[in-house]
Amino acid sequence: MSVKLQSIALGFLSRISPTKKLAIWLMLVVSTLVVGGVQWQSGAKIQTDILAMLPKVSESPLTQRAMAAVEQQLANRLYIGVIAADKSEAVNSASLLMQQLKTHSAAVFTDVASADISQAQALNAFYFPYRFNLLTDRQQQQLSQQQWPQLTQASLQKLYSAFGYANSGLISQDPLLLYPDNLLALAPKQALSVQNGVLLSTLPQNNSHTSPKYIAIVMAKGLQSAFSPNAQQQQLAALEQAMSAVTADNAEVSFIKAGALFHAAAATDNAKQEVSSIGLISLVGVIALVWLAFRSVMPLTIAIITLSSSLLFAIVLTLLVFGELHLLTLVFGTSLIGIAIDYCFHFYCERLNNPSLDANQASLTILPAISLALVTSIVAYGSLGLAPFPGMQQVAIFCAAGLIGAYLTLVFAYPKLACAKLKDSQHLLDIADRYQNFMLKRVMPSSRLTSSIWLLVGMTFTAMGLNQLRSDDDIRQLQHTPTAIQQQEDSLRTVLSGGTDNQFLLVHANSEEALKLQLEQLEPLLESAAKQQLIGNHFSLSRFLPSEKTQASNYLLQQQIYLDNLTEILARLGIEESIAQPLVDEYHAANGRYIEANTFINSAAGQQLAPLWLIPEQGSDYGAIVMLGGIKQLDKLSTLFSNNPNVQLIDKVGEISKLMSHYRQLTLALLVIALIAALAIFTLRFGIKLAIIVVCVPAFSALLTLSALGLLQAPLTLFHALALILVFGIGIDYSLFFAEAKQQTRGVMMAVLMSATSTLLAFGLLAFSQTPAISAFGLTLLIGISFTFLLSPFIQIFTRKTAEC
Amino acid sequence: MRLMLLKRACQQLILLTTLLLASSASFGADNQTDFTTLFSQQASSAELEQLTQQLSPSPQAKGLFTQHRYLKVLKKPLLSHGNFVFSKQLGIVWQQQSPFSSTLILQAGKLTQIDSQGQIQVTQAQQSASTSQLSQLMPTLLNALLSGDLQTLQQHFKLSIHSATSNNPQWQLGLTPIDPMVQKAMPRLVLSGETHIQTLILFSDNQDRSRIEFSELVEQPLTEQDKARFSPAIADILRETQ
Repeated sequence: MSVKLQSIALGFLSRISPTKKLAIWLMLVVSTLVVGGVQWQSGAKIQTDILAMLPKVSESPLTQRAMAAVEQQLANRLYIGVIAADKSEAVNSASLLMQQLKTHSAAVFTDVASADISQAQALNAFYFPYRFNLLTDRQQQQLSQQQWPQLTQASLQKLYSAFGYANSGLISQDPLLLYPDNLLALAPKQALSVQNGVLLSTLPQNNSHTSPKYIAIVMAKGLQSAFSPNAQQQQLAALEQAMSAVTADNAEVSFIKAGALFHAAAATDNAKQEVSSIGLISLVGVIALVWLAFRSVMPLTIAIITLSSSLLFAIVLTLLVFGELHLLTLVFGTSLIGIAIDYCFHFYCERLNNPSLDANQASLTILPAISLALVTSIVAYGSLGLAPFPGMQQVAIFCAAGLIGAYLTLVFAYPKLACAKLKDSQHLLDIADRYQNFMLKRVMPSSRLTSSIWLLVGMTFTAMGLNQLRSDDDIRQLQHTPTAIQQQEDSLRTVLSGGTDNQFLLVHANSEEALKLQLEQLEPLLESAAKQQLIGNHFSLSRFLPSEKTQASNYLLQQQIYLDNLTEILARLGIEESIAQPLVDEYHAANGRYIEANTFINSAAGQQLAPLWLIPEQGSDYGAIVMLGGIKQLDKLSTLFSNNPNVQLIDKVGEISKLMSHYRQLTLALLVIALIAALAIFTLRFGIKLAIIVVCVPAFSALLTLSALGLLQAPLTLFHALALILVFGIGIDYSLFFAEAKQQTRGVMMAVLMSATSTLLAFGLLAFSQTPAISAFGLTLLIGISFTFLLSPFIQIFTRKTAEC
Repeated sequence: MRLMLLKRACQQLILLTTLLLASSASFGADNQTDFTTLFSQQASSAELEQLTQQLSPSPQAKGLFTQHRYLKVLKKPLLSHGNFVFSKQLGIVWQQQSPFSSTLILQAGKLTQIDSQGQIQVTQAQQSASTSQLSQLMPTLLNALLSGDLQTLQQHFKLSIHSATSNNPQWQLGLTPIDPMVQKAMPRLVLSGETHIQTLILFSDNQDRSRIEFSELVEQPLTEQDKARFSPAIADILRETQ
């Protein structure tokens, strides 16, 4: 049936003149351009957010909101440490830096601050009216045990101290001076002091002999995402300008920086550098290759036309389906160049091998092989698209569309465009021929003994390799950070005493009070976790939002002060009696007036903490985020909360790593499916025996690649698996070209030689990239294509034999 | 490190102890001496140089103090007596002996308080935000005040001076804190003396004030017993034997 279909198609295509074909192709290109233009006008864009590429974590809406809130808090922040030998120099330079950042003409930063004094006033202003509801643990104990001598004595001591905070204003409103301790209890322990509104610390020195240095901290938030290349440039420029203004004022000052911006900028720099080094080498290599083969620039022009139209189809169709194009799709998707260019090489090698054919005839001759190659490649990529992973679906659509574009170019544009006569350059054809003969005659085992030895070597290699093959799906491994940036970040982390991890606790309950109670119950648990060194620190709203139950009990305890014993207390402290009545009135007025979450997060004091409190939406629970820092043992930590259905440990990095692992396995499984699908398609055309052989070469290549990765101790990731699919796809093409060519394989061998070399130049070199994901992709292609190339001549033996019989 | 931005809100609480002073109600003017003329006179470097010479600062000192605290809401001023030991290297021991005993040991980055029940409370400035303002600033200031280290004082205060004259050997030094937070809590300080410092007056915004008089100042090197007082456990034993 397929043969019949083929002859109909061939008959149809052979009747159309090359000029008409070109017209068809031009129409296709123009209409695609129009569709693309319409897409672009209607707001299609290139997505740069890496998270959009990753699969959606299937979490409850509340969890998703919590994740978004935490991300929002952590993203786009940057920290700058201003280092000087003298305290006041550090403080002054930091103030200057802040002023520079705030007044920069293009406002790229917001929330430029160090110590925020107005915030402190806001907290004091918020909590003071609620002081009758606030007591520390120790105060609760003293009041419930009626330890009046201790309570009054403690107050008296503060009154006598000239260096403390006791003064007329406070005493008249809080005679036992209980409020300051409560306010201080809100502050987490940390090592920073404040001078002139600037956070200040000493810088830890590696060398005890050097004089101590001081570091002042400045914080800022980028208005736009640090991952947007434009915003990145603007922010870096603004920062650079501000810092040089500071160094112009005081040359002794130095800086350390931390924040996503610097990681992102380093990645951009790295990419640029690699594009210019690796990119240049591969471009020069490919041009040299084409020149060597055909001694003409025409094939190169044709190759560029093929690739351009291929990319055009790919981009427009992806935009049509997804409405956006992810930058990573573009990066991985360009690997289809490796296949698209094969079509071009195959065409030219055929012409070189059969100089009697014109362009139209040559395109018709290779049509069956190319069509079959297209179908199998689309099937292979289509299987990628089955994964519920937005990134992989995009790559699948992108590559499939790109290949169709290249195919259509070959069928319709080549007959007219590539009709120029080729120089009769048999040079590379001869090399390919000699190579093939060498492989077949010398390397091919001639006796049973040598074949057994080869088999044994192969099996040992595979066994050892597969045995050592490990996987590592931790997405943090995928991030490459230059040591200089990491060191600065580590120093700042030390100064800022620890920090926050990406993991956090989400506590939820069906009412505000229930949630507050949950948070209160969590507190001792987290404190013991800190004692056991499971975590370094934690930050909960609990101390800011005590439960109504606690507030009511504190209010009741203070009744003893304001209603039962006020006269004695005032007498003991020597305070004027006139303050008694206003105090009693105030106490009564405060009855039933509780600190509520809503009031707090909408106040000037609570605004900054608002992201940690999640108000119910669409019938969800109330939620609160508890931030964790310095997590040492995540597994042990998670068991602490496993019994409590109201507390969840959210670990997005872990979740994504798990998903990556899942999709790595899925991709490898899809590889097997693609293999079976290819086998089925080939059986229709070649019969089962030849089909098995055609599939065997790429399958063995994949297996050997995996083994080699194992021996190289490269832990397997999703990106290795993705590259393996490509290796398989290219391998299938090679086999197919051989199988279709039957006897005349000189041209095929050269096409394969050129295709393999160009793929190695274009993608194999990516193995030397600094970015782990790209390097993994490149390394797999490097090894995989090499094996495929080495194995490909052997197909011919079988194809010949099978064709003969 | 990213928790910092949330913590930031709370870090500011360090300042609150001092802010409370500022936020409380003002009371009527007191009958204290008016230092307006003093604070209107910006100190020149020559005057400060002269003062340094007059003071002949010593790296250590000990003596007695008498403190009057005038608080508007109290029926009568709080009068207390005690002694102090000061060493440029070790810090300050500030021991109140009457009407009840309590000790404050201010050392670099560390504040030790011993209350009348003998309970010791140690706060490391590096650990607790609450002590930062008090324990980091006060030792530096007292150190500088007691040793007459005008350079350090100039880093933290605007200085004004009423120099000694031939018929009045007493000088007065007015100090206005530079840090706005400290200024809110303690808008003005006045230090006066002749060859030694004699009086320190601390004003607070709401017309409360403290007047500390120093006496029996000894500037000889400290004895081992004096030095031992910087170690809280021993200070505590000493306190109990007294």
